[in-house]
Formats: sequence, structure tokens, C-alpha cells
Amino acid sequence: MRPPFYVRQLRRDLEEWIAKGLVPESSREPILQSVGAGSRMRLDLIIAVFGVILVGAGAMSFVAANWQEMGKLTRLIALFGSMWAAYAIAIYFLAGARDVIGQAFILLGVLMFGANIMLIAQTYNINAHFPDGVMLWAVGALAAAVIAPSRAALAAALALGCLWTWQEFQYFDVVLHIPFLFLWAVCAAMAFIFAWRPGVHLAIIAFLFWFVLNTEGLAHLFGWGEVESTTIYIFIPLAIWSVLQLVDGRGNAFSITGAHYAFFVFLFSYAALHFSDNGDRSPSSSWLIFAAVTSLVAIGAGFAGAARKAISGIDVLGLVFACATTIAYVFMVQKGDGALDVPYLAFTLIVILWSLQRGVRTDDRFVINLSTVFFGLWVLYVYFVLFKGLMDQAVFFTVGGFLLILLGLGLEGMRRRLVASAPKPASAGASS
Amino acid sequence: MTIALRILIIAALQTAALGYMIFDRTSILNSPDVVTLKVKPVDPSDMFRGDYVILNYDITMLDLAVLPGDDNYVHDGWAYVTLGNENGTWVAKAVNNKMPPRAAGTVVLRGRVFSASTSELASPGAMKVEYGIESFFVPQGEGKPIEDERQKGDLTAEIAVDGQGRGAIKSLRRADGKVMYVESLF
Repeated sequence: MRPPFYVRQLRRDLEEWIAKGLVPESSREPILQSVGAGSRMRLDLIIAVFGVILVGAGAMSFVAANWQEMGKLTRLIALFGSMWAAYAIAIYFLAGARDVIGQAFILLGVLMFGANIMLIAQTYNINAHFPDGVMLWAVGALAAAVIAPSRAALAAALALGCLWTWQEFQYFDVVLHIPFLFLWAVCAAMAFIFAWRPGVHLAIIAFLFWFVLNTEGLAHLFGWGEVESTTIYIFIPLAIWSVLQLVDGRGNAFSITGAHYAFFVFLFSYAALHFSDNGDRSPSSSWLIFAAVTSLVAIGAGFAGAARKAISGIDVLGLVFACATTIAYVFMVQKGDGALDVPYLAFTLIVILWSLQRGVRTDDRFVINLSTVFFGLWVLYVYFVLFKGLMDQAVFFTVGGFLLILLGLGLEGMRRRLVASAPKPASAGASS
Repeated sequence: MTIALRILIIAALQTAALGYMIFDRTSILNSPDVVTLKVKPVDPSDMFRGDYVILNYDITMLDLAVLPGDDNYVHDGWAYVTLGNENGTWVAKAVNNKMPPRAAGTVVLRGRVFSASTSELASPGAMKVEYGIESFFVPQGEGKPIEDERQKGDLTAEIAVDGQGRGAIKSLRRADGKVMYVESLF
């Protein structure tokens, strides 16, 4: 599967090639399918899913109505009957090659399964540890996703998994909810097997959601302070990003998507690190091991990636710089006097510029836009928050601005020299 | 494997999971051991699960300093409460952190420790336990009458208890002995 920008361009090119007679029209879909483009989002699918959600919501409202007019056995027949009816209709449509509506009814079956869990719990007054009900629902949705197979059921399983882990965290003070990771791992594997890009997005978002919920638990487990905990979001994403560059330099959509999320989390956390403070605490030995191991993974993968020409030397420098400044900051910030704010903001600017150059060099619009947004936020923060005096602010901006102009001029000069020294193409020479 | 067979497998698996929920609950309700507990209901409303009555029992708060048994518990861990009959109402006689041997005329009810911090455990005091019988679903809008009944006199709940100490509400009774709700199997 190729990244979205490649598929968009290929669609446009294909239309042009077909119009010029270079490619037969019958080849359009096979070519698109060969790069994992598949069919576009269809209105009938969206409407069918909306309809299913409405029917599912209607089933849920039965719960609140409480069914006082019905006997218990009648209720059970209605519950099981409705779920089986949804699946029977799904079979009917799928057997008739009407996949879209068939998949919608599989989703309805999954929703009915969840409604039935709650209705049976209500009918039999089962109320011990209610997140277990959501967990059962998520597992049922995942089973449907795997067996059918069904992308919609997979999305439902991920969403329900998030609800489950949130309930455990919110209502039962679970410090570290490890069981979620088992469900998540199967869901992520299925998204990969389905070659389904939205599923990959959902899986990554679900993992981030879990991670944010459990950060405090992780920090508590290791006895880490605020600033040490924040670095989890710097070192781990940086290591993941670096390894993903190493794993696939061919523009695979999954590694690109994962790398985008990892770099976004890293950039955000690096910029936010100076808001955290450990007070007078020294970094713990467990944190030092964590920082050393993840830095080694990130930088080691960076060097390996540079050797394979998957990333540039500047990227390796960026990795070393980010790891080194983060570790140094954690060691120095314990004074808690805010003296590091200005140098750290300068470091943040360097990291943003690194991100920007990488986006431009790889022609990656996401990274370019991300870097631009972060630069804008950085400027706003410096302008409105950091400096109390206008003169300090003016000096900071002016010096920073001149440095950027000088950097830009230097890069332009470098580009000119490289272009001038590059050998001319043989074809160009022949034609002239 | 055809798509029809695949979907039938999904439906069968999910039906089996739901069936197990019912079987597990009816097996508790079929238990011969039934205890009567004093309750204090209130009536919140839950948009997700419909109307239900929250039941607070006399055995919800246990005084570890008074009750014989173990003093060491952890949050969300198990507590096994030995109940004895006193004039038709069952009260806590002992509390343990493991299933105790069952004496004649007693029933052991298992609950999860809701609030027991390390400091509390260092000096035994009150401990809150939840038994999974704290909410009772009622037809929409009928929670209030139960609350009203509570104002008139004591409300009691009959709890079926299985061999593992798991409890399930069998019925609710008014002070005059009239049954307000009975949990039937089907």
C-alpha cells in the first residue's frame, strides 16, 4: 500500500494517460488496486453505516425503557432474535454480492451484541465490575472483524477497547492497564493484514490514548518525577520514528503513518518539556537506563538508516541533538528556577527547523505543515509568554531572525554549489 | 469457508458468550443458600442502563477492629464475609482475605475491597466492601416508590449465595414482609 499523496497523484496521472491513450481504461482499477488504493469512499457506505448507528442507538434506548411489559423469556427471545436477524440479513446481502450493505449489517450485529450484554446484565442484575461488559463487547467485535472479515467491526473493537481501558482507569483506579495491550495488538495486526489505512490511524490513536492514560501509572511504577515522565513521550516516539525509517525507506503507507504520529508526539513533547519540573529531585537511575537505551536505539537506528540512505546526516545530527539536550535538561532543570527556559526554546527552534528541512527534503507535506504550525506556536509563545520586557523580546527575535536569514543564505549557497558541481545528464548534452 | 458459515460462527460465538452470562447468573440464583440483608436504597438514573436502585447494606462497611478474622487487605482485592442469622436478618460475623472453612449455620459472601489504603490497613478500622449486589434494575420511573418505601420502614434483600461466595439478588421485601420484586430465572 502506498501513501495517500502518491495515490492522489497516480489517480490524476492515470486520467491523463487514459485520455492520451497511453493506458487502456480497463487498466485503471487494476493499477490502483496494485498500489492498495482500492475504491474511493462511497456515499452508500456512509449512509448505510449511519443507518446502522441509528438502529443501534434505538436498540440502546430499549435499555432505558426497561421492558417492563415483557416477561424475561420473551425479552431473551427478542434479544437473541434481533442479533441473529442482523447477521442473517448480512448473510443475505453478502451472498448477493452487496458487500456495502452486508458489512453494515455485520456492524449492526456487533452493536446488537453489545446492547444484549447490557440488557442481560440489566435483566439479571449483573453489576459487578461493569468494564468487563465493555471488554466482552470489544472481544466480540474483534471476533467479528477477524472471522467475517469486517473493517467496521475492527473499528468498533478499537473504539470499545478505548472505552474499556478508560472505564478501568476512571472508575477502578487501575494503575497500569496491561490487558488492553493484548486486544490492541490483535486489532493493530488486523489493520495491517486488511491493508486498511484508517484502521492504522485508529490503532495508533488508540495506543496513544492508552499511553496517555497510563503515563502516571508508569511514572508511579518507576518513581519518576514530572519531567522524567514527559521524556517518555520524547524518547520512545523518537526511537520508533528512527526505527521506522530503517524498516522501510520505500514509502510504505504504514511506516509513513507511524512515523508521522511518532514525530508529531516527539515534537509536541519536546516543545512542552520545559513546562515540566522535577523540583529538587535528581534523575532516578531507572530513568537514566531508560534514556540511555532509547537514545541508543534512536541514534543507532539513525546511523543505520543513514548508511542505507533512508535518512540524511542532518537527521542523525537531529537525533543526537534531541536526545542529548533532553538528557541535559533533565539533569539541569532540578533547580526549578526557570533559567533554562530561553536556551530550551532556542533548542526547540533548532528541532523545528530540523523537522522543516526533513519535510522539504522528502517532499512530505504533513511534516512541512506540522513544522510550520509548531513554528507559529513557538513564535506566539515567545511573544506573549516568555519575555516580560519588550527589549529582551526584540533582541531575541532580531538575533533569531538574522540567524535564520544567514542559515537560509548558507543553504541556498550550498544548493547552488551542489547544482553546479553535479554532472549534467547525458541526454541533455546529446540534445544540445 | 463461505461467508454465510463465517457469519454463523460469529453469531454462535457471541450467543455462547451471552448464554454463559445467563447460565452463570442463574446458577447463583439456584443456590440453596439464601440470606436476608438490611438495605438502604436510593434512586439515581443511568442513561446507559436504565433505572436502578443503589442498595447500601449494613455489611457494606465492616469494622475490622471489631470483627474477627484477617486485618490485611488490598484495594480491589477480595474480602470473604462470614454471615450469621440474627432474628431473620444476616449480619457479619467475621471477615477474611481468603475463603474460610464454612461453619454450620453460616454463609460466606465474597466482595471486593473498595476502600482500604495501606494506612488504614496498618491500623484496622472501617473497610468498604462491594459484593456485586449494590444495584437493582427496576422498570423506568419505579425507583422512586422503592425509595419511598425505605422512608416508611426497613427494606430487606434476599441474596442467593453460591459455593464460591458470589451473591445475586433474589428479591426485595418491604418491612411488612411483602415482596416488591422477585428475580425469576426466565
